[in-house]
Amino acid sequence: MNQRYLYIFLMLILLTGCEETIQLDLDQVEPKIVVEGLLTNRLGDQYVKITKTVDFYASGGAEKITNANIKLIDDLGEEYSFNQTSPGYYLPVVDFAGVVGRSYSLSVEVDGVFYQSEDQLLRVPEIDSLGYSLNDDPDQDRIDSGHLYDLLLYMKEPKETTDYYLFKFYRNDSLTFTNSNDIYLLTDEALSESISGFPGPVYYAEQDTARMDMFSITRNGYVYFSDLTNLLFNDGGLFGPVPANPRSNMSNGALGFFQVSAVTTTQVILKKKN
Amino acid sequence: MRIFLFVLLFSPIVSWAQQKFTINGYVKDAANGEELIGVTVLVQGQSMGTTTNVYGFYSLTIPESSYILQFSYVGFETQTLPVSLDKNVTHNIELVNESTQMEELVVSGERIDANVTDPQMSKRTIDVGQVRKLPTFMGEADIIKTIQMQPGVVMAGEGSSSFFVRGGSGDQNLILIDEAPIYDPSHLFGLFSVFNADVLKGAELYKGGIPARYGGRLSSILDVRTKDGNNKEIQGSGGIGTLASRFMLEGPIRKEKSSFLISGRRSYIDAFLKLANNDNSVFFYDINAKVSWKYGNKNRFYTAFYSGRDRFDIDNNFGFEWGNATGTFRWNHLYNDKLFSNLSIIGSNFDYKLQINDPVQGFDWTSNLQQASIHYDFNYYISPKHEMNFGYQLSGRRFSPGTITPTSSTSAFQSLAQEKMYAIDQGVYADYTQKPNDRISITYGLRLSIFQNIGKADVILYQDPRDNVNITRIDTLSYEPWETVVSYINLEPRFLFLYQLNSFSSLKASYNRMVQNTHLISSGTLPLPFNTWSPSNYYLKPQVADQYAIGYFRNFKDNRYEFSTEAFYKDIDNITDFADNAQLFFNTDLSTEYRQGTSYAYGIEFLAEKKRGQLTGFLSYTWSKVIRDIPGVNQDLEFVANYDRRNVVNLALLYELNPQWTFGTTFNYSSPRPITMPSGSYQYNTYNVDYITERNGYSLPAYHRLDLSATLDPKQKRERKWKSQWVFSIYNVYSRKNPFTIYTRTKQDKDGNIIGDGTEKEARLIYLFPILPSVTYNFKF
Repeated sequence: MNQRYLYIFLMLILLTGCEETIQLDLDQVEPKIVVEGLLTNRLGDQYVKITKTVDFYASGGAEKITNANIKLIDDLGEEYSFNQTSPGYYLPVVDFAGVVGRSYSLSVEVDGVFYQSEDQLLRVPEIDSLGYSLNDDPDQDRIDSGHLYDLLLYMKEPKETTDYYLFKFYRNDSLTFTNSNDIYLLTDEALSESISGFPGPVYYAEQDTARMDMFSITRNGYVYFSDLTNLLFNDGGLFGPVPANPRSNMSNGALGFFQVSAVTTTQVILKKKN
Repeated sequence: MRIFLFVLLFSPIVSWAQQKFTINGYVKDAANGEELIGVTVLVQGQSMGTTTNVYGFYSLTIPESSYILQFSYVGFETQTLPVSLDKNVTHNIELVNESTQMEELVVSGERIDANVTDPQMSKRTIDVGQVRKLPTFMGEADIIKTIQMQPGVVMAGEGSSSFFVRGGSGDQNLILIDEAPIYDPSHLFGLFSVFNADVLKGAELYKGGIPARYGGRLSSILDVRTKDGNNKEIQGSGGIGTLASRFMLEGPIRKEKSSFLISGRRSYIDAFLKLANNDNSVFFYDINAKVSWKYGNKNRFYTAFYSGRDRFDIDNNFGFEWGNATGTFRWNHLYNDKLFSNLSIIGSNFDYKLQINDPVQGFDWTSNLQQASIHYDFNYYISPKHEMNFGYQLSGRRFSPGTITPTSSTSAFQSLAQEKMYAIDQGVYADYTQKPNDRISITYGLRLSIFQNIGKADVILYQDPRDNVNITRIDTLSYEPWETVVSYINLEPRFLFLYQLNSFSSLKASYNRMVQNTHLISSGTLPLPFNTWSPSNYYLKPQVADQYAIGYFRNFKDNRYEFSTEAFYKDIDNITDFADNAQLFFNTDLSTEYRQGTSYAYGIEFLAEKKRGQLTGFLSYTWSKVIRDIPGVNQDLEFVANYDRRNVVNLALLYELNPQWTFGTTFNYSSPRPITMPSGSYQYNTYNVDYITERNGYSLPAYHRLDLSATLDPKQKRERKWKSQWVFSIYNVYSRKNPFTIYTRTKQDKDGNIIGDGTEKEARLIYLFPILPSVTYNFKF
């Protein structure tokens, strides 16, 4: 609900509006630690990435933090150790999978400063099936790219709790977005129990292998990812909210998020329909 | 009972040395019977007088004698009336327009030297006739564009109907059409306002020293009045513009006794889109209607109706619309020669709707707000030196913030409704104007505002009402229908003081306290039609503003030139703001997002104006500053508001070359507007994320624009009824790329291909309108 209004507005003024790149005179700021952590109930998913913010006009990407100490403990007191495998990138020494119902605490120490976080691993419902159908009114981009099929989701969503989900879509095993800033989030507050043929946001062509990963996330996770969406699509606070840093679960002013999720994967190969 | 208490309280001490009589009546435009607001009625040779009220009524109580009364009004020929006052008399006066052109539209004026003699300060009267000849945007004359040029008023940018008065936010303006509130005055997201200039009689903007009869918003009152309709002859008028067309018909129902007016305006962008084979459709319309009638000289009735709507359809599967509808019934009654009353019954509805048509994803989202009010207002003309206004106002409001309804049985959505909210607002007020001598005039007023948030309501209690992440509800307080949830009672003192230095200059001072119990739920700079409103409630406290202003006023060359300067200081308590990252759409725990704090603003305004002659117009300059301090926002640090434009210059000029040609120009310069921009960036997953350090810490480039217009009234035979007029406008003559907003993205070339390693970012400036010429054809018969 932010840049969308801006684009409708721009469409409205009959495309007389224009845009151009401008150079902002921005302050140099004290860098902040950024933590990107993922823990799921699937082997091989676990990692923690530690970086620092850079100036807006900096090039060369984020500065990696190579001297971090990572500690992960679950609520039964089990401890998991992490090693740096490439600069700023930390993996478990012994691979493990998270367990539904457990809570996990992450502690990151950089230069004597501790950044902490806790998140819970919530269950994820099974997906009944994925379907697909030929869209009868595709836009020009889809015609040009040949991605004429909508992916359809069939599942039962338990209504007794308020649940939050994050989705990732893969086209022939590569992570795909309609817009590179998209985050596919769902809350079941306004959803009915039976989801039957809900079209996905990513489109496919014939013969594609379509894969969908569905992650359970906590309320904290939902808040973080929806704030992040607002920030990525912000319009400078004109119609939409004023840009702000997402509400993170990391302590001590660190940016980023430690995500703990159960994940379920489904895939379908799109065959030609006659 | 309180009314009478006030009467006693303010009861004037007048010495009755001599027998006095009252002369009263209505002052009208001779051409069409429209009543004139603010006509000066002066007793020649004496410094006594009055002005007509908003219904064109005047009343003067003066000692028995023979007098010559003088009626004068900007744009009209002054008329004199000899009277031998030995009993109470009524004289209705008709004034003749000076101009013989088409533009004999009623202007809502004021007495010629009002700038220095009227204690009211911080008030601007908008001359609709002038608005119609000034340059337009796409051919639609719009009073909001002129409002945005007044001293002390700041605009966010072009393409917006919002305005910000003396450091107040966009929702702190009470916008009234025939006394009925308009909750969103925009068409097409603000490109135009809902006010069709054809039907307007006049508009008044109060920025300070706000009279006690107005309440409910902190920063300004924009009181727009529509015409009553020609009660002498049938008349049609209209126009064809670049984007919209207008038509209006007015005339007597019974000659000189009753009249009607009906007017419509509709845009035709949708027709162009259809021609271009575009699947999208956009349109807006406005309908105004009014019936007025007289019953003797003591009773007048007016029924006014307005309805306006915008509708967008995108690709046949996404639609949205919004609109206002208002109705006003008014009864003017003269209880006696000195006591004028007006009873108004007012209704207002604002609603919006979003629609997605799809068997699975389809739903309707509706939201609306209704208000019903009764106002009973009195003007008591005790003597030329003493005048009193008092009244009682009652409003009920119902807020329905949102309902989701699935559009088909296969929809993945279920019905969901946010709880309705109800409020009752009462205002009792009185003000009293006293002129102890020729130089001094004092108005003191008081308004008692009694607000109640009532049931049916469920108030949710939270472990921490300001924690918007881990929301923990601990209890719910349930209230029956009509049961009071919370009430807020406020006293609002109002004060005006005039000291006339001499016949051409004066000093003025004013103070007002305003209370606002209706809050806009929006964290953007510009209000969207899809924003909802909320009454004050268990969590949301009334916003309260105190404003102090002083000014120096001076007229030159026999009142041909007016000059004024005013300085103000405004202090706001409980200003409503929202937490960083607030989720305001369909949030059932919305109260956890409220953050109220303080704000203060101060500034100085200069205005030079010429109202008569071949060359008319004004030049204004404003310096102002506005700071907010909201606990829980911007790490609890003070920040400048996003509409804080430090320096603003406006120029509007009209030059009447000859009876055929009038040329106009407007120029605006507004210094940079604060905006929140990132100071750094980082990567999270595949995303390039901005790192924000400070709210409103950066500035958009300055705004400036020059517009030109030429109005042609072709020579035509007097007996011919059909009269034409052409208005040619050029918007943004030197095609300045004025900043609208800035957003950031991953660095890319113009075809959208990523430049560099995909982690570099760039800022993009959006600007709206290059040079835009337009033509409007107006007609009248």
